[in-house]
Amino acid sequence: MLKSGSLAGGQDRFAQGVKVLSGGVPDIGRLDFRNLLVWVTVFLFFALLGVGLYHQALTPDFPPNHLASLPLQEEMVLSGRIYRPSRVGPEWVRLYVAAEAWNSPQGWRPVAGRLLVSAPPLDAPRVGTRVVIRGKLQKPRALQNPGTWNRPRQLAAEGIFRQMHLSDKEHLVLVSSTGTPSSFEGLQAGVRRLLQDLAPTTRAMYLAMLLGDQGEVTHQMRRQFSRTGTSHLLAISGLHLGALAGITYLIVFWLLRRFPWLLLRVNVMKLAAVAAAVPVVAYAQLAGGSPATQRAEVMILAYLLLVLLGRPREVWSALGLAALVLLTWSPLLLFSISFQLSFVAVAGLLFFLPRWFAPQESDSVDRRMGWRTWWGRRFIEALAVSAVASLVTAPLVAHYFQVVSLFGFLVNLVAIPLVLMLALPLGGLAVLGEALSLTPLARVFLEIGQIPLNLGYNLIATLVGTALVGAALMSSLGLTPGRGSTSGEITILDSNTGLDGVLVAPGGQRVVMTAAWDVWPGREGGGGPGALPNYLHWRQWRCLDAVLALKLNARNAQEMLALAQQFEIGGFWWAGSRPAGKMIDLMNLLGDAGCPGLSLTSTRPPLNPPTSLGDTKAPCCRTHHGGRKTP
Amino acid sequence: MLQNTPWREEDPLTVLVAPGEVPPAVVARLKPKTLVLYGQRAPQADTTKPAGPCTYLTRQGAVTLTFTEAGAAGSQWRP
Repeated sequence: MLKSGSLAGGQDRFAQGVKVLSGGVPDIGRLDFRNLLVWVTVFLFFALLGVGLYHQALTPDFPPNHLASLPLQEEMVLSGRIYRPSRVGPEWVRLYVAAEAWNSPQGWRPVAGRLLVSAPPLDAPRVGTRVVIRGKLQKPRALQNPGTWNRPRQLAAEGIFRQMHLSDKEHLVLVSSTGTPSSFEGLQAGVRRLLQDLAPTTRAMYLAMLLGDQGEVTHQMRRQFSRTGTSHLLAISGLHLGALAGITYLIVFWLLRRFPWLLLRVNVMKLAAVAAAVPVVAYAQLAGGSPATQRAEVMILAYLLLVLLGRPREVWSALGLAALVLLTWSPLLLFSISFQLSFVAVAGLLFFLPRWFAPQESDSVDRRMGWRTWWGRRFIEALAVSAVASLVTAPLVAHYFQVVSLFGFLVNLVAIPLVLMLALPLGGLAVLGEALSLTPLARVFLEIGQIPLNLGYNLIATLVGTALVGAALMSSLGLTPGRGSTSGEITILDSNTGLDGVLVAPGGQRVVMTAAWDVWPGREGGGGPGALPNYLHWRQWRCLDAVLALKLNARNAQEMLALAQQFEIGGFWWAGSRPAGKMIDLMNLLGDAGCPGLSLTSTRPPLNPPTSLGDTKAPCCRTHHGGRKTP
Repeated sequence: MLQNTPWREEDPLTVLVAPGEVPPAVVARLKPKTLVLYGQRAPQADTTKPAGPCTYLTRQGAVTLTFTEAGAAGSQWRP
């Protein structure tokens, strides 16, 4: 009896364990001590395993001939080949190079590892192109400021541990290309040609949605999408691939149901699932196979696999399978924004929607409903999907982007059908037409597709967007903290360009200070976007009373340009050499905005006047508060 | 450049914000109570000696100085 009882108890524990391991959430309150211990041990084991794998992925043991063993900050010549499509921005090109050899003092030596190369604008070389680069290796470093994204971890997740900035595109030599371009590269070029004739905003959105190229998306567009909670439309995600898979599935399923003899011979649901996987894989490849797109691809394919296995309702298993595959591939993905948003949104939908909408409808129930009831129910469901997705992702969005659109779910309710359900599939058909060399037909699809795309964008940018954002602002007026304060504040940021700081006067005036390091001749390529824009966004500021560029040159000109583009500036004072390059763009932008840049050496500066230092006449900022001085 | 400041030496500074490679002689002359050093270059040992001013390096995290009636207080952001 005892033995039997023990066996029975063991079976119970086994069943409980299986429930735990299969994803079921045990009722902690009902677990006895032994089962609780098992559950906690399993949890701790996987948590520790995750921590270990995380550190291993972040700081791996490099082989002896890895790029990481080469000296940093020393000019060197490397050769390698492009292994991934380059990213093209308005001011830069990012090349992904698999290093093969470096020119050591003893001659060419083999080297391995991935290298991210930032170069001035140039025609992006094809995948497989051999390149020779001259520059200095750098270790990716995250600026230690609030609001700064952990870029080294993001690059480590992609297997990149070294980067190189080229100030001159002549430091990059394209040696040769391996044969003819791939079919996908040819198709990408064809799609770009197709989009050439479209309006700039339409072209920018189609480029982002079809090819994953956001290079033409302007800052103004980003701001409009961000404020209305629709930024996800521009980045190819699970929503895009899911929409494509869903529409393909429904069309194929509907077509197959027209043939009764086929219904008797094959499982059309499984056949439709296989058919839906084809455009998903092709779309992900066409979009350049970026890590975010690959993650979305794995998620969608995991679900289609369950449909193929006859278990379409085990969506939690699909989500778990996708997470397992992705995190096994790279544990660092757990910290990726797109990974977190995708999984939290899907998990939220899976958890909440069945509790609100029991899946009891059958065809017969649908037929008994009037069309108004049917459409009303579909509308409420769509509203709930949008609301739940927005609600569960809001904490993450607030944490990463500092902006949460209160009415984003309503804008999405309109924008998603227009953009993802109409414009995207029509764009996909245009790509298919181009792939089949039916360019005139592809143009027709694009012509039709740009109608819902423009409608969606205009709704986001003007009607719905402005009205809702205005309503949100009106409703939040009572919550807006006052700017007045009895204390002053100075923040000095970690920066690569020199001095970057922010001064908040006791009256609430906000003054941004910057003074760049010197620029040597031949190194005028300029710095990146700098530390200030991210920090000021993190502070949730939109208006700056004054910007004091105590020393303006090529290093901080792009940073100041970003400030002028992204913030409302009350006044801009500067000192430095004669404007050139980005400084001219900055002065033009400020002049167009009615706030021309004023020279600190010839006009009266704002607030506490900057002071000249001795004989050098170089301006600096000197502040007083309560008898205390800060130069 | 900082050696030519027009401020009186006998009137010590509350805070001095300077590049990391600021000469120790400048710090000794201006006598700041708090020293904020920016940039990636490490300061000289004499600049940050224990008996010297309270020193913050921005490369270790953004530094915020708050000025109130009670005095100036510094804090450093840590990731």
